[in-house]
Amino acid sequence: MSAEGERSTLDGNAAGGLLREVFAFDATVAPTTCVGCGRTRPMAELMLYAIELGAILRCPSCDQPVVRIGRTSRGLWLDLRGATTVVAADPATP
Amino acid sequence: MTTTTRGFSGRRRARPEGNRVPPGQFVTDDFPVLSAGPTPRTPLEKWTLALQDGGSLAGRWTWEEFQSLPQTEITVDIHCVTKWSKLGTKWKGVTIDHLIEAAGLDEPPEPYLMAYCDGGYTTNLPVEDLIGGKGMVATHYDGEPLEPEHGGPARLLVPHLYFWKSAKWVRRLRFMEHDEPGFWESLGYHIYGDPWREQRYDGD
Ligand SMILES: [Zn+2]
Repeated sequence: MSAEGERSTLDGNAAGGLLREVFAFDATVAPTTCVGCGRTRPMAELMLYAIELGAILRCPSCDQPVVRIGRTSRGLWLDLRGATTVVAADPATP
Repeated sequence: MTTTTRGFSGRRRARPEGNRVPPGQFVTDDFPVLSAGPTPRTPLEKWTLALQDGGSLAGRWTWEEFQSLPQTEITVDIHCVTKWSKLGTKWKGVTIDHLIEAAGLDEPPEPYLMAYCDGGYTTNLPVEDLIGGKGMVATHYDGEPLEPEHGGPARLLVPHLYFWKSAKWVRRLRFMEHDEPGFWESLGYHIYGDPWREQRYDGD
């Protein structure tokens, strides 16, 4: 572990395996916590809007946009500032 | 009493005579509804429109007060980034010039503006795209009060930019010193959004 205040000698590449593990999950079942009201539910239970431009997934309890996706010619922009956490767990794995 | 003025003259860019449809667009007679959230239904007695200079209030109008401001009618073509265009749409509302005047300001205090809406939607615009008759807060469409699905009671209308800039359910306009991305602009959509230059996405 690096001492406090010391800069890491490793970059994100060293976390590549972990990142691949985190970002390869079925988001529809991932427990996601709303920043607005603190409730946790799978993304499949959020309410979908604006599918024409990407997707805005809102909390059914408080209408907070929890997951925002912009579909562009250069990729999908993902904004998760409306989610405090997303649990990237494969429920099939113990 | 309301005064009706005509001739909301948007700045027109040079383009082939008679061509009213920007590249990549198709003309529709429908009026498709695109919303990033549920339709808010603010009662008119609770509705206000605020004009802010940074953090301080420059003007605020109730629904009744807003109706007594000079009303302008316009007929314009509108262009949605999802590629539909609708020609010859008729609107009525209060121009941003008249709002600035009603707030007692000699000129816009800052070069950029953020529009804030019921439901949390935002969009950013350069002020020069709103003044000189180029933008209004519209309350009527085709002679009728604007329906909630289309942004009623009041929406921003900036017809020369992609229609996501014409924010529905607008409640507050804040002048700002520097440009900042709004709701779609922070998700990969273009910061300015000129349909004639096909500025759909960041980097276009
Ligand atoms: Zn919530």
